[in-house]
Amino acid sequence: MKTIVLVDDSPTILMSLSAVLGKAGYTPLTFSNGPSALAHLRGSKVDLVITDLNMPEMDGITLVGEIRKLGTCRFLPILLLTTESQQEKRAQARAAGATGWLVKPVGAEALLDVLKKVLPA
Amino acid sequence: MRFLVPLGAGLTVAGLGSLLPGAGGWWATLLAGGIASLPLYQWWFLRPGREGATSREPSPAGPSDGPVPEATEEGKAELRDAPLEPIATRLGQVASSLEKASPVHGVLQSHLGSVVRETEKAATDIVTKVQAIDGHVASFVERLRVGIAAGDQGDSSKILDRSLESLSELRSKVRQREEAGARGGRLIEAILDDAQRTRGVLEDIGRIARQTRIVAVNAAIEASRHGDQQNGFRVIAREVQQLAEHTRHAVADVEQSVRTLVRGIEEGIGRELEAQHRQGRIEAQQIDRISTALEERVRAFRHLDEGRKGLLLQATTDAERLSLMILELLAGIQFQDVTRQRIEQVVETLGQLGEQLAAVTSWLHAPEGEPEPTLDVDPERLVASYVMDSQRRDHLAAVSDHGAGEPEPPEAEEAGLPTIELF
Repeated sequence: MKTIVLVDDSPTILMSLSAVLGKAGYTPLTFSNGPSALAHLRGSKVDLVITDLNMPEMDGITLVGEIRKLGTCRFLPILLLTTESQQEKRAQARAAGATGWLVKPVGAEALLDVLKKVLPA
Repeated sequence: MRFLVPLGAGLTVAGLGSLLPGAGGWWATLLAGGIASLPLYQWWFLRPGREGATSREPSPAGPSDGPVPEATEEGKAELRDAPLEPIATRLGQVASSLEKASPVHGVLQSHLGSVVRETEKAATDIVTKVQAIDGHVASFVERLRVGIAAGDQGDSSKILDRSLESLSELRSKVRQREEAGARGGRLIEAILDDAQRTRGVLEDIGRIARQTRIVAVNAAIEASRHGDQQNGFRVIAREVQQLAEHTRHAVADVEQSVRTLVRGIEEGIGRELEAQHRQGRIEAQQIDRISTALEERVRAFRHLDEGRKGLLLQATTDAERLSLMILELLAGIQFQDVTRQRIEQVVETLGQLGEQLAAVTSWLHAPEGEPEPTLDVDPERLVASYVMDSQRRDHLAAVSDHGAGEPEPPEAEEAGLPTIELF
C-alpha cells in the first residue's frame, strides 16, 4: 500500500483526509506541523505528501522547499491542499517544487483522481 | 449609506453595535468616524444632515450617507462658537457607553471560539460515526457475499449433482438390461433355429429307419422263401428290423425331447423376456418421471441461482455507491476547517476592534493634552490578511452598495482558477 503523509494544523482535516485515504486503500500518516513531517521524511520512504499552506511554525511552501532539499524526496509528489486560491501563492508553490494545488474543500472522488495521476503505479 | 467596518464574515461594527445594551448603532459610527482619521468632536459637528447648532442629539443610526467629509470653514467656525459644556457632557456619556461595551468583544470572541471548538468536536464525531457506519456496511456486504457464495456451493448444488449422477447410472443400467435382453432374445432364436434343424434331422433319421425296416421285412420274406439254408440271413433281417424299430423309438424320444425343450424355451424364457421388457418399460417411465422432476429442480435452482447472483450484483453496486457517498461525506468534513479559518479571522479582527475601543475609551477619560489614540483598523490590511477568495468577495460585497446579500459564488472558480491544478 502507498504511504501518504498528511500535514495540516487542523485536526479535522487530518481526520477527514486520513479516513478518506484509508478507505481508499492508502496508508495515511498525519502530522500537525511541517517540522515533524520533515523529520519523518528524513528517515522514511513515503509515496506522496499532502500539505496545508497556512500553518504555524512552517508554512506549506517552505515545507515543500525543505522536502525538495532532501535527496530521497527530489521526485516525491507533493500536493498543497489549502483554502487559499490566489494565483501568486500558486506560483510560489510551483517555484518551490510543489506538484499540484488543491483548494479546500476538495471532494473525495476528485482527490482520489488526482492521487491516481500523480502516484506512480 | 452607513460607514461599516467589515469583519470578514458579514459581521459589521454596526451589527456589533446592535448587540450593545442601550447603544444602538451610533457608537459604531463614531468608531468608523475615528477610522476616517477625523477627530471625534469635529466629526460630530460636521456630520452631514446635522440640524443646526441647537439640535446636538446624536442620531441613533449615526451619519446617514457617505464617508465623513472634511471639516469645512463654516463648520470650523461653528465649532469655535459652540458652547463646550454640552459637548463635554456628551463625550462623557460616550466614554461611559464605550466602557460598558468594552467587554462585549471579548464575549463575542469567546462565543466564536466555542463555535470553533464545538464544530471541531462535531466534525470529529461525524467522522467517527461515519467510519463506524462504513464498517457496518462493509461487514454486512461481506456477510452477504460470503452467504451467497456459500449458497452457490451448498446443498442445492450437491443434491442436483447427485440426482444427475443417479439418473445417469439408472439410464446406464436400463440400457445394459435392454442390451442383455436383446442378446437373450437372439440366443433363444438361435436355439430355436437349432432345434428346428434338429427336428429336420430327426425326420430324416425316422425316414431312414422306416426304409430300413422295409428292407428288413423284405429280407425276412426272402429268407422264408429259401428255407433253412437262409437261416443266417433271416437272423440278420430280424436284427435289422429290430434296429430300425429301435431307431424309430429313439427318434420319437429325441423328437419328443426337442419339442419339450422348444416349448420350454418358448414358454419359460419367453415369459421371462416379456417380464423383463415390461420391467424395462416401467423403469423407463420412472426415469422419465425422475428426469422431469430433476429438470424442474434444475430450473428452480437456476432461477434461485440467478436471484442470488442478481442480489449479489445489486448488493455490490449499492455497496460501491454507498462507499462513494461515505468517502464524500468524510471529505465533506473539511468544511469545518474552512469555517474555522473564517471565524478565526473574525475573532482576530474583533480583537483589534476591541483594543481600539479600549484605547478610545481611555483617551476620552484621559486629562487634557493626552495624545489621541491611533485608530488603525485598516480595511486594506484586513483584505490582505484573508486567505480565501470568499473572504475577499464578502468584504467587497459588504463595503459596496450592490454586493451585500448576494449569494456566494464558488471558490476559486469564479476567479477563473481551477480548484485543482497539477503543475
